[in-house]
Amino acid sequence: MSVVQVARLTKSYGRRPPALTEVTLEIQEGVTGLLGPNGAGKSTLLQCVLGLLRDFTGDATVLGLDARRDRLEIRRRVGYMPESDSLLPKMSGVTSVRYLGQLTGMARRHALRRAHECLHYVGLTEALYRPGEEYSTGMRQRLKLAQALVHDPELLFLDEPVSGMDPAGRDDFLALIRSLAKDHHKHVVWSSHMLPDVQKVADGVLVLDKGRLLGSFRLEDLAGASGRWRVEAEGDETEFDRVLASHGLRAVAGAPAPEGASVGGDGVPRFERALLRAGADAPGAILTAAREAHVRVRALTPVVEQLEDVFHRLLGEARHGSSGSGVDALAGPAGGAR
Amino acid sequence: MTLYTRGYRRYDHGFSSKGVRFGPILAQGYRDAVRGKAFRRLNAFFLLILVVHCAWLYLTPDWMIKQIARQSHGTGASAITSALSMRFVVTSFVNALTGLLPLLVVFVGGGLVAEDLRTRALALYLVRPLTPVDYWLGKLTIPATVVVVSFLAPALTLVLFGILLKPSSEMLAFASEQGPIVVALLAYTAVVALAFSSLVLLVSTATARRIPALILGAAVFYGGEMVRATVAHTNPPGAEFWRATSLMSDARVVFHACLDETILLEGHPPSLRAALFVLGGVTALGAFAVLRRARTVEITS
Repeated sequence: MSVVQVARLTKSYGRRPPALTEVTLEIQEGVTGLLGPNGAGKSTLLQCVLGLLRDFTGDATVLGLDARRDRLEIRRRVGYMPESDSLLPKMSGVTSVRYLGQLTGMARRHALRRAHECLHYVGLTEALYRPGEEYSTGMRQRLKLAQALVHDPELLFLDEPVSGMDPAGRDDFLALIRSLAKDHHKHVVWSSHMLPDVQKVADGVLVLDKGRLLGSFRLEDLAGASGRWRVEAEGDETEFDRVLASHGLRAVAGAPAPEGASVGGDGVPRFERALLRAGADAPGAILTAAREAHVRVRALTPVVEQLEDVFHRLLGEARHGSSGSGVDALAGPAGGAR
Repeated sequence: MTLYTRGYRRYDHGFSSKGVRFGPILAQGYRDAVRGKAFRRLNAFFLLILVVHCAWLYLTPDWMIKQIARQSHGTGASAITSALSMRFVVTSFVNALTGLLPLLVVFVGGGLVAEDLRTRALALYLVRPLTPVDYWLGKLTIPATVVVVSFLAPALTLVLFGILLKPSSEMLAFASEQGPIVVALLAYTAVVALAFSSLVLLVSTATARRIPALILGAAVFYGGEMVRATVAHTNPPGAEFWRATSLMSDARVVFHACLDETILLEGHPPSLRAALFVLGGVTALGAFAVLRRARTVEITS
């Protein structure tokens, strides 16, 4: 079931190019990474689905509620953690969380109790009564999460939630988000530039650039099951490509060999190929093709792509005009694959 | 390991739909405002002025009563003299506080929007179930409530004190004659609460910093009074407008208009029409500035 549905959403600011152009997407349950460079339209998308911007065309629903008509109800059921240090001035941690709970419609005494629970939950028990302005960066991130959680939302929008945190604090925070999603059934939309972090916690990913959706896929599709292989070999690469094609295998050039390593020990040229959509029986076919082409295979490894590679490839394809969207995004050239 | 391992609890108390949505903003803002030292000192001074006027009402000297009786064309009737005496003392109270109310409003309201902009807290409000109008109303009602508590309540106390000084046989009749004074006080309070607060929110939004907002706010209030005093005896182009640039004088014009009196200002006072135009304009500008800022806030960096 999808928690956010957007259909043909277009949003323009004055005469500037549209911030979002005909974006259609669905955010599924669980943790979803929302990725894109600055100016990609992530912020505009968030503002549209939260009902902060209403003058867009197309449709947007959040938790089954219309983003224009039911915007206040949406905000009651959604928690938002901003990236910036948005601190309520001159308030202690517990006061600020309690206050935001009240603004969501909670009675003061319930909000106060809930503020204690949330701050306790995110690990700020010892700093409950300290002014938010005295918090360290990591503590501020936790405070913002407590603020987002105070009204027990079903859906959380987290904007760069681990920005500025030390590695230990970051791991702890990621575990906390995983726990929220897995154990407490919160849906999370994680907007970030920290792709390795997103890969650790997200179930799915959406990639935006210049107001368009470049791709959306499940992260499990990245892991090994992509049917892609990398071949390092020595010999005549043109002949190898020809024989591979005759076996129905599509190959593209891999990363160029490092300086001084472009030939093998006996002077035979060394090259690298990435096999796309090769399937589970690819190793046998590749080795057969290598034998027929008189090519010596030095290494044959399955490609496990990193999110970062897919992300950069999608951006590259979008900027160079080639197509690539949806799960197809995972089947592009594997130049940077590890 | 953090304490979250103890578990996350669901919230099951529900959400209240009673009351106004901006209520928590007002309640929290008022609590924060009355904690300030400046507020407490100013309020203590207000109370002192109230005590002085109560004492004045109690000890109204004979010469003053005679003077007031002469001004009332020698009717000399006791009731008329008492009513005029009451009006005189209440007007004095209003005049005494008119110069101080801007300070109070500036201290209370100067940082209301500015601090939210500086700390980027505005986004935190708008991702809650609040509209920009709720935010504006919440912020506006904080200095407005302070005006009601610090000015209107003492002013009505003064009127009540004056009524209680009467013998019980005259008390009811005397109280019923104080209607215009009460109406004038309510109108004056409404004007001050709305226009003064709006002006302070306007500078608070424009400067986005508390201290500059305090300085600019005070400068606009007292600068307007200086402009009015400067043009009081001259007749430059748009004199009526220039004379109305002092919000303090404008508020007093409204007060005296409710009492059906002419304001006793040096030179020409601003006309009621110009005063209302300026007061309304400032209120509208303040609302526009805050609403525009709230509507265009970026929730992400």
